[in-house]
Amino acid sequence: MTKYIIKRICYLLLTLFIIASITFFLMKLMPGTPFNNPKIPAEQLAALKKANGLDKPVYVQYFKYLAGVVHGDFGTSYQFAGQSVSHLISSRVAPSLQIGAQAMVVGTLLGILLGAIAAIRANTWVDSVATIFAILGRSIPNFVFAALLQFWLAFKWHIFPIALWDGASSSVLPTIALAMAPLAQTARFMRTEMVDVLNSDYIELARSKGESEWQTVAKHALRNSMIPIVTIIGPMAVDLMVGSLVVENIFAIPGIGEQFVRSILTNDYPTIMGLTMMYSVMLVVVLLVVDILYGFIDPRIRLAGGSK
Amino acid sequence: MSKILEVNNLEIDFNTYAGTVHAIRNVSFHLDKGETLAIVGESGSGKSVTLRTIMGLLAKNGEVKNGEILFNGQDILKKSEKELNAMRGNDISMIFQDPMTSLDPTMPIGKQVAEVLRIHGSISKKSALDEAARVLELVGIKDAKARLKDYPHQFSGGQRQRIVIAIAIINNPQILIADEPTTALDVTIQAQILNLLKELQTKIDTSIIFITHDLGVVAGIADRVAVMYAGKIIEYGTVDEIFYNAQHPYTWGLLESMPTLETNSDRLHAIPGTPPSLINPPVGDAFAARNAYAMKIDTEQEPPFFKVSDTHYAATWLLHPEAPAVEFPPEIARRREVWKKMNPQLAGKDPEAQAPAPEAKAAASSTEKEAD
Repeated sequence: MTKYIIKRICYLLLTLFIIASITFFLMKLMPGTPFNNPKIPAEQLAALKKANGLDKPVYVQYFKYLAGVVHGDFGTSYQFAGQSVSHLISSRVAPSLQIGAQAMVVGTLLGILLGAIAAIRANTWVDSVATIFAILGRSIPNFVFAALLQFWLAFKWHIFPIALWDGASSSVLPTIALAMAPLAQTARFMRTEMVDVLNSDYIELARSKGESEWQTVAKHALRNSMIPIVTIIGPMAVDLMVGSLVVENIFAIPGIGEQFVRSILTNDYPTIMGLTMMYSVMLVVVLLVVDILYGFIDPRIRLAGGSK
Repeated sequence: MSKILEVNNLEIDFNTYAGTVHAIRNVSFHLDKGETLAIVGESGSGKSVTLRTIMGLLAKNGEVKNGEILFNGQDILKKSEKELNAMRGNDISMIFQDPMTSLDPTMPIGKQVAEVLRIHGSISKKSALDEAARVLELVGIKDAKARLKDYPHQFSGGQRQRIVIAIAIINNPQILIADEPTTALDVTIQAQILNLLKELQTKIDTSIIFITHDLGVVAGIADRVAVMYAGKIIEYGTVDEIFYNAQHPYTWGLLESMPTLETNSDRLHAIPGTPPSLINPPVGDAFAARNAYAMKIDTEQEPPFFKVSDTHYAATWLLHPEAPAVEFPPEIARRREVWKKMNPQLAGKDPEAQAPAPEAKAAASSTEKEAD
């Protein structure tokens, strides 16, 4: 197992290097420069470029950049003079990560629960209600949920703060709004898988042992049904972290999503690179965690991976 | 011998999109204490449904329309879910057909075996696992103690079936139901598993109901045999009576399709046609359409059970006193000869043993053509 994880981490580093390189060159291909303002005189522009190292050949910039990345230095933002990219990201990443992670945990746990109940009561009204709920959750965009939650729970009933980032209670509404999609998706996957599992031979054997319906579900069906859920959790997690832009805007949360869009619009090269690398790291780490999780849930995978 | 299980007039329907399937149509049989009863029949004849009903594991769309299943005098069909849970895995337990899929792939085997003990009694985890190791050794898992933490995929098919058997016997059940336990195994392993079951039967003093479609397996293990066709039992008797003195043409067909060392022909016999749909079961004998010996009455009226001996009954009109004598297929005639040698006192008494009259032969062969 340790050998497997070390091997995976080596691949992970290689992946990150490739992503860093591709992003760097793609960015250089984008039209315009960070200093697009036509009022800037030519000699001043040249001076700015020189100061930021943009006058040098692209390959020199590339190696200089890579050297910086290895040391955790992503350079200085063009947009906010004097602010280092690492500081810019770290100061704004916390709220995004928090609501993303909360939405993830709440969404998948409730989704697993809802899907399991729908499967156990398959083809009854409980199942139909769960299905309708899942379809709505999946098809209604999260900003609609955000607006509705804001209107009812904050504006009408004053249960939660309407917006801004101030303490745990202000994270509740954005978390719910973001959790709807993963909840719905997990519920659907869980139901389909669990209906299969409940019809399997080993569940019948468990019943023939004299286990009650709930014992069978808790001891045998849940774990076996969760294997495909793990597969979708990875991409879903990253999706949540990146896709929270609109929700962050609605609740006026000083998150990272907005930062990302603005840095692209202004050709703020160091910030784009920094954020891209951050998301890439998150994605590959999540995927690694998912693969390790697989092993914990499914012993067949654990041993197959360990022996290689 | 006392009856431990009695099934009376069982009727089960399944509600499907295509219509109501009358899967079990008035089935009665009993199981004596300590004996092995084999239920034989092709796929869809209702063997598994009957046994699943005894376990209280009938599928949700199945409905018991009539009948009773008396286990030690108590009707299983009237038991509550809680009483059934207390019974399953303790008084009656089951061995499943496919060992590759019947163990939970994500749970160590020790825990899966020990679980049965923990459900039916207050026993510590530790002593349950010790007991599991002991029973696993008993069913032939070597070094079981060290393998308790292993998962099913680390065992071969034969070993997995041994584990399934360990789960079934650990509580010393009074009845062991084996649903084609050797079908998914290769032939050498089949013999080992059958021997194991026979050995265990004496060790834990249990009665076995054994479902199979393989008569070869039946010969090795059963005391009595019931033959099922289209949701009914059509013949039952001791294993010798069924193998050497079978009365129902369907049983003949099954015996003929079994290869034996005495078989001279290069081709195996097959029963023509397929079983009838049980959504609209045919009038009369359900086997009539595939039966070379079918008579007019077989398509009109259902045959009752005719008594052959105290232990042997068959539901075929051929046993009616007015039925014409027939010429047996060669394999069956050969088996009758063996039967006569086994039971010299019966010689001459068996009406079937007399040479068939020529006109009856003609009648039989004319119906044969119609049947196809």
